[in-house]
Amino acid sequence: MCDKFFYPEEDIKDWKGFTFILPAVSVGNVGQLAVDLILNTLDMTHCGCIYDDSILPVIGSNPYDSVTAQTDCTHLMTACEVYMSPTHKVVTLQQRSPLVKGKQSQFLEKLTAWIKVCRFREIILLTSSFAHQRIDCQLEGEPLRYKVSPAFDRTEFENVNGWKELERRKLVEDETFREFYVPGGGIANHFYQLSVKESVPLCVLLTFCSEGDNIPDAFRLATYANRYLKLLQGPSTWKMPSSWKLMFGNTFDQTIFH
Amino acid sequence: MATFYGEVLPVISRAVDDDDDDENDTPQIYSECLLHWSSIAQEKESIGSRLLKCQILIVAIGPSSMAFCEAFIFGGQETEVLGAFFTDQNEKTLNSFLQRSRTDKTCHLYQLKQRPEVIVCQCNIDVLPEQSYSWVNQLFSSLDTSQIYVAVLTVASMRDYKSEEVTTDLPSPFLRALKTKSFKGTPSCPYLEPPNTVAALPAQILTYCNLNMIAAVLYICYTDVMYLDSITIKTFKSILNVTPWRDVVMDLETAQQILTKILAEYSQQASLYI
Repeated sequence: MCDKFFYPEEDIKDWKGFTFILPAVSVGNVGQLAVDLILNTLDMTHCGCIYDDSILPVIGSNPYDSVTAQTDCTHLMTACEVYMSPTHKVVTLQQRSPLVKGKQSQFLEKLTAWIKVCRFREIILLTSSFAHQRIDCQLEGEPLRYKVSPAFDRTEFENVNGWKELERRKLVEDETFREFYVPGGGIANHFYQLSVKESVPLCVLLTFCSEGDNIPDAFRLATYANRYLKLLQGPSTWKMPSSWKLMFGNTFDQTIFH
Repeated sequence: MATFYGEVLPVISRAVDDDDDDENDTPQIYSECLLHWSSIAQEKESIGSRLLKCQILIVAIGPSSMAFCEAFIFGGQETEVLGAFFTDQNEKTLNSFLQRSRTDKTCHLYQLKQRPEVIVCQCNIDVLPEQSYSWVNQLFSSLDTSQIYVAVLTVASMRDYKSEEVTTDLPSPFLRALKTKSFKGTPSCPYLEPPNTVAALPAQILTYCNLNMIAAVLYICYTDVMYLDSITIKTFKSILNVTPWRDVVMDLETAQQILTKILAEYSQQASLYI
């Protein structure tokens, strides 16, 4: 009854040539927060959901402030939703809950197959990595890195200033260099390997951070992505959704200290 | 990560585990969720070849929701057990269709004999979020959902409710609702405000219904009482005037008598070891 992967709201649009942005559930949830900023600021249209047994369920009310008239306060928010902006030629996925343990590969294989059907021009994965596991050369400078798969078209990419490629590193347990290793990056490691194998044009953008109030990290990552994507022009700034309030719990009763 | 005093503590992330890279080696730690149909159901409709007709499906999760349904929907009427879910294969917790005590850890599907189009699921088992997809799929794949209304009742703790008001100032208990886009009615209480969310089985049911254009509504009762109490159960009463409840609600006086009996039975169980 539910053997599809993507459930569109209306007729399936032609997304050939679009950019696909998605987050990894990673340290500090920075990728997901950055996608929230993009969705809330650009007023993207909700166009479908991803439903799979690899995604843990969560629901709520509409978390964004400036979503178009197609959704309202009674819109049911689900765990994995897809939005699009025809103006910017961008399709964005937001994942609000973790994957089921042991089903990450299943999710990535289905996601990759769906990406190929949609014929996106490029895939941008927003993620983060544990700051305490940086190597020495990563301790200074901007805590931002990128890594692209061989299928990614670097032509426009080369005009982006200030991007630093993720360094190769040796892990303690084995002496070989790893081309791509992002500790705390969620699906980033497996998705990159799968993208290389399946010739998917993937660009991973990450920031180093620790767990805490990761809102500044999300702003930094969204701004970093914007240097290439140019979704936000001029002096505009990212708008935080009102659903970000109370992130660290309710206020307390002031009278307890009287 | 080193602390101020120099001790090294493990870094824990709320989002990722250290063993994410070995994810594919992770064995499944939860048992499968299985739906077994009773012999009554198998005689009535041939499950697997024909779908079970259902116009109103009510899923009551937890003791308070179940008590409300037993009092106000069953109301003393005769019911038949159509089936049951089993989520724990541990031998020590084996249960069967014959376990009908209110305090047993069971998840039975009941059909009202006088209203066979109404099916009520009384769920008193812990369905893990990982099991909820299978739970929902097995149930809905056996039902004729062409003209169905689905209603889900659940209870949550006040400490999980996020609000700019101080929690102690909120009128506890209270109801909040979420609905699918196909549900054209208006719930009897406010919608659940962001950033509050619902997870696990209630979320899976509503997600499934939303994607398959099924009219469904979820009512969550936020309470600060950990045991079964009449105030929490009666908070659900406001939903009796709206779809689909107003079509199935029983006599209120009879319901109150049944509720008193249920509370007495639970209080005996609760004080067993005092």
